Amino acid sequence: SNAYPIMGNFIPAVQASSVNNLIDEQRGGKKRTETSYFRDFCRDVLKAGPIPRHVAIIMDGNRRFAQKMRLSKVAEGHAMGFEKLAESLEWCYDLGIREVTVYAFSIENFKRSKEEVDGLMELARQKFTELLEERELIQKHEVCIRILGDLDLLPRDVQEIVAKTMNMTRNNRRAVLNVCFAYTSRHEITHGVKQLAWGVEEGLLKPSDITESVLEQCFYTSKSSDPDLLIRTSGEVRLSDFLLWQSSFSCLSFLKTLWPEFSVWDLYFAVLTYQRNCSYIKAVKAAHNEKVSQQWLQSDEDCVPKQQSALRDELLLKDKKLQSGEGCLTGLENDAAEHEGRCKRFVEVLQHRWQCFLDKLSPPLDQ
Amino acid sequence: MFISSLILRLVHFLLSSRAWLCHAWLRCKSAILPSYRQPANYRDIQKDSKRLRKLPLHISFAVMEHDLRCRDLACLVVWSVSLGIYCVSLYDFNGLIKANKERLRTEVYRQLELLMGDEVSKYSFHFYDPSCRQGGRTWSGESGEVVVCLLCGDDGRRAVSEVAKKVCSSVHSRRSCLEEFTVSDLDRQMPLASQGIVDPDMMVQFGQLKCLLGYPPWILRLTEIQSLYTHHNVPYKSFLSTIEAFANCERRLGK
Repeated sequence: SNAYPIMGNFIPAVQASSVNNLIDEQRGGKKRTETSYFRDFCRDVLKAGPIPRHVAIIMDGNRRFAQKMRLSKVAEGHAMGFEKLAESLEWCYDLGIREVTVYAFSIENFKRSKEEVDGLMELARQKFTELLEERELIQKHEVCIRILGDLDLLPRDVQEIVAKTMNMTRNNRRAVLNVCFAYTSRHEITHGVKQLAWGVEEGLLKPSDITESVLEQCFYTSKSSDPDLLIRTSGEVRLSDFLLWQSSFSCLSFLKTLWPEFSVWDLYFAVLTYQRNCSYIKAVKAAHNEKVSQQWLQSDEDCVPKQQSALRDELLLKDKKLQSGEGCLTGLENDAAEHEGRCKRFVEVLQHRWQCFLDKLSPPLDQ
Repeated sequence: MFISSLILRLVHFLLSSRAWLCHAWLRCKSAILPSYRQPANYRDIQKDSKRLRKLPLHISFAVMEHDLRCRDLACLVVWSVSLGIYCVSLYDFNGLIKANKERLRTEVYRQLELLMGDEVSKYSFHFYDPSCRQGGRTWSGESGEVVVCLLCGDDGRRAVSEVAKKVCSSVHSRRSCLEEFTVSDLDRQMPLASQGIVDPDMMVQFGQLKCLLGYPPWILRLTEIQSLYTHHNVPYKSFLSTIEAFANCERRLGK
C-alpha cells in the first residue's frame, strides 16, 4: 500500500477500449446521469439531517484496483480513478456539498522515477487543457477550480495552463473544486510561516500580530473553510501529509473500498458518519475559535498583554460611555483596531501578490 | 420531510446500536476470558512483542471521552512499555490528563510494579509537558528510558502558531535567514521534535467521535489512526490488536 495517494487520480492515462468496457460494466450499462427512485429517496432522507459543506477526499487504491482486476497497465486503474472523480463530484453536488478538495499529486511523489513523473506531468498537461476546452460547461455550472500547492515545482507550461484554469473560473461561486497538486501539508505550513516572516521583514506585521488565524491566511487553502468531512478510500488509515492543519476538527471517514469502486452508498455512509459527529465537533470548534480570537490579547510580546476579563471590563465601560454620550476608544481597543488593520492589509498584499503571479503566467487577454 | 427525518433517526439509532453491540460483545469476552482483559504476566507480553513484525517507535493515545480514568491510561502506558515501545503520548482536548499528571504518574508506577515486580527498576520514566517550557532534556531513545508526553488542544494549532511567531522574531532580528528556511528547519523547532521525540507512528483514538479534535497537526503526517470504543476497562487483547494492525501495514512514503 502507498503511504501517499496514487498520482494521476485526476488524470486518466489511457483511453483503451478495455477500460471503457470496464467502466460501462461498473455502471451496469447505465448512463452517468441516470439515478433510481430508491437512491433519490435515500438522498432525501439523508438531506433531512446536516450535510457537510466541504468534503476532502484522499482518492487511494487505483493501483490495487488495477492488480485486482488484472488490468494490463496500472495506468488503466488511473483512468477509472478519474472517471470515479467526475462521478463523485456529481453525487456531491446532488447532495448539496458545495466544495470538494482532492489530493492529486504529492511533493513526495517527485521521488518516483523521472519517467513516471514526466509521464504524469504530460497527463496533467492533457487533462487541464481538456478542462479549458470545457469552458462553457464549467461556466454554466459556475464551478471555481483552484489548484493548491507549490506551483513553482511544476514545469512552466503546466503552471501556465493551471493559472489559466484558475483565472478563468475565479469568479464562479456556486461550487468549488480544489485540486491539491505539488502539495504537502508540512510544505504548506512552512510556506505560510515564510510568508509571515516576509510580512514582518516588510514592516506589514509585528511578530506579536501572529496568531493561528493570521497563519491560516497564508496557506494555499486560505480562500476555503476547513473541510467538514475527510474521506480516505482503500482502507489506509492515515492522512499522508494532506490538510493536516485544516482537518483538525473534521469528521474522518476511512473506507475500505478502493477508489475506482467508490460508490454513492460509500459517500452516503461517510455523510452519515458526519451527521453522527457534527454537533459535538461544532461545539468544540466554536470553543476553540473563541480561544483563537483571544490569542492576540494573550500575547506575551510587546503589544498588549491583557486578560480576557480586562477586555470585558473595558468593553462594558465603553458601553456605559456610549450610553452616556461619550464615544472615545480605549487604549486596548485602539491597539486591537491597529492589529486588525495590519493583518487585513497584510492579507490583501498576499492575495495581490498571488494574483500577480497567476496573471504573469496567464495574462488576462488570454482568457 | 417529517418521515425522512424519522427514517434518518432510525438509521442513526441502528448504526449506534451496532457499535454498542460490538463493544458489549467485547466486554462479555473480557468477563469470560481473564487473559483477554489482562495479560497474565510481563513475560507473556514480551512473547507477544516477539511475534510482531514491527513496533511503533512512538504510540499515541488520544482520548475523545469526557470521563478520563487514570488507571486505564496507566495500563496502556505500561503495556506499551512492556511490548518495547518507549515513547508514549497521551492526548485529550481539554487538558485533563495534564491536570492529573501526578495521579497518572502514581498510577503508572503502581501498574508497573503489579505487572513487572522487580523488573521495574529497568525503566526510568520522564513525563514531558511541551507547554511547560522546561529545559532541554532530550529523549535519547535508549532501552529503558521512557518518555510519556502529555498533550492537549493548546499543543495543536496554537503551538504551531507560537513556533511561527518565534521564527518570525528570529528572522526580524536577523538571527536567521528566510531564504534557506525549509520544512526540516521548521520541524526542528516544533515542541516534540526539539526534544528528540519522533512523530507518532500510530495513534489509538478512544471514543465514538471520529475526529482528531485539535490533535497536534504537525506530527500527524504519517500516523496510522486506529480507534477503540472506549478506554474504560480497555482489554489488553483489544489494545494488542491495534499494534498488530500497525505491524501488518506497509508504508511506501510516496513511491
